[in-house]
Amino acid sequence: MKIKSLLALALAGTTALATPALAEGTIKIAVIEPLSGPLAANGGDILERFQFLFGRVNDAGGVLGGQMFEVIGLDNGWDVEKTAQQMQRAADEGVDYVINGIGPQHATAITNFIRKHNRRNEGAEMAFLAHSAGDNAITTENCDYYQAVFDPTVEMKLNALISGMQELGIEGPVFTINPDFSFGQTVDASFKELAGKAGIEIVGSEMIAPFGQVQDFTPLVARIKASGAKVVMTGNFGPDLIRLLNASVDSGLDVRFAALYGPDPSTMAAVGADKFEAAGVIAPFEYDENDTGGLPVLEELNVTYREVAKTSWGIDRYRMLVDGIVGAIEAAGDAEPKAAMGSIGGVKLTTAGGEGYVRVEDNQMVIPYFIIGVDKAAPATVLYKGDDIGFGWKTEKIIPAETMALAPTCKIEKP
Amino acid sequence: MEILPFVLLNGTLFGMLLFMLAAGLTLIYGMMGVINFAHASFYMLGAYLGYQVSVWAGFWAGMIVVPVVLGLAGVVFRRVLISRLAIEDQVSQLLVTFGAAMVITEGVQIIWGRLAVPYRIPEEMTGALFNVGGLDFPIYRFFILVVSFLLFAVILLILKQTRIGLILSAAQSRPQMVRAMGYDLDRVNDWVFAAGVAVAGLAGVMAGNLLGVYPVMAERITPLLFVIVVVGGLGSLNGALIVALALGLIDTAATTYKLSAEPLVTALFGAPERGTFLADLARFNTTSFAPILPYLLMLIVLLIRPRGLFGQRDL
Amino acid sequence: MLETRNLNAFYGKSHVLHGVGLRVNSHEVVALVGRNGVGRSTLIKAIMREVQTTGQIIFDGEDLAQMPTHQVARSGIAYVPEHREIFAGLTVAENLALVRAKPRTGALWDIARVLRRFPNLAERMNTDAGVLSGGEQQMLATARALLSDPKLILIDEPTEGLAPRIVQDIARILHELKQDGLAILLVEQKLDIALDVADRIYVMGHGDIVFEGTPAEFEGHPDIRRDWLEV
Ligand SMILES: Nc1ncnc2c1ncn2[C@@H]1O[C@H](COP(=O)(O)OP(=O)(O)O)[C@@H](O)[C@H]1O
Ligand SMILES: [Mg+2]
Repeated sequence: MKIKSLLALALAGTTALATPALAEGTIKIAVIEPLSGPLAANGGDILERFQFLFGRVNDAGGVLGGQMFEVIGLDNGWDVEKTAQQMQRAADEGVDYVINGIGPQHATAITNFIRKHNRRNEGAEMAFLAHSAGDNAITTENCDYYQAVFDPTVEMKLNALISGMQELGIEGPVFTINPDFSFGQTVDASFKELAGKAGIEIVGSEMIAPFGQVQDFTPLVARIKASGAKVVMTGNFGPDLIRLLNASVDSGLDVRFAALYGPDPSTMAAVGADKFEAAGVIAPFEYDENDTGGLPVLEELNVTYREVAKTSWGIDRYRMLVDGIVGAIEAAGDAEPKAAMGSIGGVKLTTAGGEGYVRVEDNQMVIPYFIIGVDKAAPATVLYKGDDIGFGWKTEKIIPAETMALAPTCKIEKP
Repeated sequence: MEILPFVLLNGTLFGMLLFMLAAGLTLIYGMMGVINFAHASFYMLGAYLGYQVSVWAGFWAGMIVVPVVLGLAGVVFRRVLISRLAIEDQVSQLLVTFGAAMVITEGVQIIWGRLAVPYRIPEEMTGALFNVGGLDFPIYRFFILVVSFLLFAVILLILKQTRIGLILSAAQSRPQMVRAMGYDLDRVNDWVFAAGVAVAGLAGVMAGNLLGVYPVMAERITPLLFVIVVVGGLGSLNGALIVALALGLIDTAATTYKLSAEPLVTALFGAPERGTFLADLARFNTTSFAPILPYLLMLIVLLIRPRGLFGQRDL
Repeated sequence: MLETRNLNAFYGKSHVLHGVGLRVNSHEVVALVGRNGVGRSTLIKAIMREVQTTGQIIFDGEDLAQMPTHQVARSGIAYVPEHREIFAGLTVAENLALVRAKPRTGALWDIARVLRRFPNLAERMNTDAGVLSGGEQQMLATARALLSDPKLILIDEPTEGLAPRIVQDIARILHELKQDGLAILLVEQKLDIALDVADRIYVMGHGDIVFEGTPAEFEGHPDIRRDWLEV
């Protein structure tokens, strides 16, 4: 099945290369992500999900009484230079909305392009819908009428995590371990600031060389042990998280892990249910597959996406993005970005945890958030590209939208 | 201080793993004069194959089958690629072996995907062997430690106590004379290459479920290997052992006992302001320095002693 | 026993031997002399398959030109190279232990006999071969060759760079080997030694044989000595 999915990716890549002339009268969406290179699997996954979601909207009759969406994938090869090139191409093709999320530097490139483009091309504006906040500062510093973020900011997530920890009584002294590049630094600084306000003691903290450079985490395990920490908060992902969890559990370290990237299927598969449970992993997440909150659309997606993509629906913010733009277009009665983006702030979103919305001030999505914990007996175990990971998650706590909505730090000026 | 034994054990383990990779690399260089940039790829292949075999027939089968299969693959690799490279032509060596490493990395992704694969420690090896300073030392880590030391003992025994050791050491200085004494060095080199690759593969089988099996695992460890063989002296097994162990221990110790410049800077100049040079200086600590340490070590050794600590010839 | 036919040798593009024909019979000592750089060592290396060649090298009915070096050695030819090529870093004993185990039993040369022939080595068995004197290194290289129990031994400039007293030792050893009935192809710069020990003599000039004969015949051609040997 891996080979099949690779073929699908290769195909996605070729369609991206030979972009077909877009049909007249459709609303054009470009998903710009790495469809080749080391992150191709992630980019391909994302493109697949958006094609699936906009396909559903089209099947249900489109927007504004019959206008259809058309989604193309453009490969940036995880190269900022190429992102800029693909933006030019999207502009030439008359793309209305650009979707992206992997890598903050790409978001910055898109932001810059769109600012310039919109100033020079009145009547043919483009808008940027970000599906991941990361540390891209799109809504915190560089907010703009033509962009919206459908993911809580790092600060919002960490705030959710901290209030979840407190409500769950997971409060002991904390040790933080984060990857030493801009994202990890943001996580580290935000967490410390928020923890300070919440009166949580931080007894140790480490920035590690990221992307699998640290082979052995046992020295850090010894440090954590010596520090007396009861909780480890980490933004590590991939091999850096796999090794950290392995080393800790193997050494019998008695702490709980608050791991932002704990729910990544690859990490879950590599580390396994027993160690995840032993590490008491909790994570802030937008949606827990085992807790749809009675939302029919999620019950449907849980079933259909498993069938279509042999993968758990698992991540729900892409749906929120699609709902967000559809809602904005319907509210504005116009699919052009210039009109629709004026209505995106204020759009209401239904989520598993209750109602959410896109905030008017900065076009930042605010939704109730889940604090999830390992559940070896979960009815829905995580499925990824045909591989059943063998365990799932349960809702430990739902953080309401009011708590999530930290005060906006940026205000959009209407053009 | 209580955790010192824990640090020593884990540092030694990491050092021995590095040695298992560096041993083959340095021996292959000594015999064939070729720096094989794809050597760590066999470590990665070992991890992936170890995972695959463990799915089909269990972990223990992988311990036996994978080194044998990789050893054979190593012979093919040597015959097809390495034996055609001239010793003097280091640019071709770099291009060919580097290219091979990239091909292997891509191939691994096509077969097993781009994400980490679920390679687990065998059931019977889970759990702690003993407790040091409040931390467990896992049975599995101890197992790796034992295997790597046994392997080292076997290598040492072969090199020091048998005629094979004599032939290898003679061939490193005067290969032509060894041929003129009736030895088929091509066959000897096949064996050396196979053994080097098999040991790297075995390291992969054992370390894969500890460190994670994913497509860039070779890329990440290659630079460290080169530091080890260069600092130890290209071709020197003793050098490789000592430097690998030293790196393992230094890295572990520098990370465990984080020494920071901050108290010193603060004591001398007062609390530094953000963004100043002093603030940067205060940020300096042994933990964040640990990953750079090997390269600094290499630089210093190369400046003082270009042939490495135990090397016979200059680079 | 050994015969080269129309042997050419090349180092890359440079053509060093030009159709050399040379013969060594069983139990015969043949000396190959000539000025420096004419190609004597190259001829020896050609026989050992260490340089590129065309032509034939027939040894006991087989063409060595088709074999790799190690097979030439296994067919019964031992090589004492120009610069001795002993293994420094290994002891004398280890240098000798490296000689391949002999396939046939009842070998002529065993370690005891070799050490009786070279008593100096017997005393220095545990010494690093790299610290031996030049003469001792030459003896080690010769002992190593003998231990393989060869039918033919190729010796390239054994007296080069040695003190006169040691040169005499080497000359005596060569005579002893001749007495043993060994076939030898000897490259020797010192003409008196070559003429003294050899049954036949070849003079090489510019990559070709310019004279072939017994020492007595050679003495009858002062012009050869003048044109091809004296400097
Ligand atoms: N490795 C080599 N590469 C190129 N030319 C060589 C090499 N070895 C020897 N020669 C050349 O071949 C010729 C014969 O050399 P050699 O056989 O060593 O002479 P001799 O032993 O008679 O002194 C010389 O001109 C020498 O410069
Ligand atoms: Mg010579």
